[in-house]
Amino acid sequence: MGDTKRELKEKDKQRNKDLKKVKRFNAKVYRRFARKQHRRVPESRYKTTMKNPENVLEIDGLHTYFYTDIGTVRAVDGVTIQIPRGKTVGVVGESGCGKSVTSLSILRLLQEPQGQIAEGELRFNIGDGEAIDLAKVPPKRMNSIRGNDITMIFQEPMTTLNPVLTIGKQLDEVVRYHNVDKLTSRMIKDRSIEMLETVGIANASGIYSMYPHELSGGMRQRVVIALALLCNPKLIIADEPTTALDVTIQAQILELLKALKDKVSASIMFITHDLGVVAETADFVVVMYAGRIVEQGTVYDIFHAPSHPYTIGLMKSRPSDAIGEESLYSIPGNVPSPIELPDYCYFRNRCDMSVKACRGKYPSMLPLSDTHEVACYRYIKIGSEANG
Amino acid sequence: MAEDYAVNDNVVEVTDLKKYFPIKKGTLQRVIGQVRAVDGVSFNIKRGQTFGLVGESGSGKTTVGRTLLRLTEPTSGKSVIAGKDVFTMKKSALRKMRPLMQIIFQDPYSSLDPRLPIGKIIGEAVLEHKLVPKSELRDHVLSIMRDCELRPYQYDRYPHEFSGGQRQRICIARALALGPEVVIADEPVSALDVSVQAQIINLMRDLQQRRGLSYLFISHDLSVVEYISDVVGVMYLGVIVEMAPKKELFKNTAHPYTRALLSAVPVANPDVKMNRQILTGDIPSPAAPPPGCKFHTRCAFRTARCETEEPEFKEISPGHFVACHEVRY
Repeated sequence: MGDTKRELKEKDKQRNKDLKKVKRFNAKVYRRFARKQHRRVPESRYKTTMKNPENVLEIDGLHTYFYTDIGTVRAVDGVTIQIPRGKTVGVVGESGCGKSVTSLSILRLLQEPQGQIAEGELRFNIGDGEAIDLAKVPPKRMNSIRGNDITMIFQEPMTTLNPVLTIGKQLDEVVRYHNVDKLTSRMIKDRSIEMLETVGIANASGIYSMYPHELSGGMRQRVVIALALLCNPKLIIADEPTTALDVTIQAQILELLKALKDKVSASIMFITHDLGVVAETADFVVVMYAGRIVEQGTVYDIFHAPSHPYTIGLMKSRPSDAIGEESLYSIPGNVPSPIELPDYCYFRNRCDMSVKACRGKYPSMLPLSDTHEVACYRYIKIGSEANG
Repeated sequence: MAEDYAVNDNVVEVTDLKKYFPIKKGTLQRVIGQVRAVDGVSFNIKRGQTFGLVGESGSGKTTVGRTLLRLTEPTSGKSVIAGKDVFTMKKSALRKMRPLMQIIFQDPYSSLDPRLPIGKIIGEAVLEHKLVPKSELRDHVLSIMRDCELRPYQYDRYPHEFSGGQRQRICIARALALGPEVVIADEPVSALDVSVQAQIINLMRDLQQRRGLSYLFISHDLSVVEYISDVVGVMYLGVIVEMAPKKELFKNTAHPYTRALLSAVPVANPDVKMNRQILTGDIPSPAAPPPGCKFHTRCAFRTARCETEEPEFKEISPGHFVACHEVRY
């Protein structure tokens, strides 16, 4: 308010200076990553071994940053998730918590050059306990994995499908590209139609020659699921697959996913913000907040004994648990800005259970049981009290 | 008219509201059919209460909200708001009515002008209707902002500087600045996260108690509607199939569609293995609605009668109306 013109000019100058500095830094980072990508990488560089051969994917200390003009956004900041074979892992969190960026990192679909995997390993099981690190794989090899071994179901079925191609063309394209079994065109078509039948589309051969706009939202999502299942993937990443749908259609799609999981024996990484959907579909649950995991465990761990104040807050703020009560519980405050994250617990400022220890640096994951982990200081205290 | 309004405390009375959209074809734009978006809807909203309208997309719930304010011209029917018939009045009189009936839209990102600071956004309509003198406008806007838990220093900020939840607060402030009696909230929390959703719902409830507002709360989320509403109407393909006070509706659910809708909501408890009735297929096109009961194509309890005869909207217990042949009472 009280700034004079001169002061304002001074401020502007400083801002421009800062901006230039950030831009120079970013350009350097982009060049570094670009060099890395174009280099020929021998297989030995990205081949590793699985820690546990029963897992399909092990995400180990993943850091994904976006180098933007206003600063480095730590979208994912040290995430470790294990996805066991044939199980569903639900990833829950609010918008901006990094759940979608985690999935895009796995598939290497980040917006480049801004978005980069800065650190971490993504070990993908290729059998016999051997693994490849998706974070280091060259683009060509990644193309053969994406859509074949790992597939994705996106949120918006309308924007996922190409509006100017028939459903059949889009399905055939996937099979033809990966064509592992050396199928002929005729066989590819049969396979596509068969897959449409598998996902519960009654008039499969009719739908095969239709365009996406002729289908309803639920039908389109079924087509997208068919697209994801065509190559018998080992891992399906479902990014909010039912958010854009009505409840009745959502129920249909969830039922379908459950039935298909047993049929195709793939693991599913289910990303959603809806706790109800997670409770129904997932075996394991990961709760994310501001780019980090705050709590993870089996569904029963998370829903019967939610331990992190954030998880507890999320559960309490569901309107269905508060019918007849005067006011709905809401977590005070807002998510911290991803550019200026504090060096203490990101949730401290919103937490109504914080203790003295919370002033310390960001808490590390603390095991509560064999399967249940939480990043919160309150449990250190409880643990030490129990011991002493 | 004014006396009637004082006697019964219905702020909104909607009778047999219909809205058909013509389907045009060819160079001559001949009308070849009608989309029956709203096909005979009647309900009342009492002063200070909330009427929740639930339904799938395409059921016509948004069209109900827009037509009863005459934001789109109705095909037929009657809408009496604050004792005045909105559909028959002249445009100039309607304009005078506008401050009494306000609407909050679903998407807080597209419903705010990106080039206006929020103080202007909130004050624009107040100035237009000359509700407060120009010299007091700023104070008026600031007091509304305080009520909606926005900070005074945000008066000169632009919409892009706000998060989704805060933008929705701005939309609410803009509606309330005119001192309305009826607020139509068209999916106000659908685009928000759970924790933010709770903040907005609390704010809306708080303001309702303080200012005696009446809400028409349109949503597809049953849990939100169950929390905030006093009376709930369930829409399917342009008609209300069931309407009852909240407790009655969720306890003694009568219509098969409402039951299916309720059982489709996922429960946040892994132990609950729901005995779910999953509806097959999609909602039929409102351009060619099925004859008889509109729900019979997806209903598990249908009989031959349902396919030909349209069910009557009858009262099965005080205040509980259902349109279904098969309901026993």
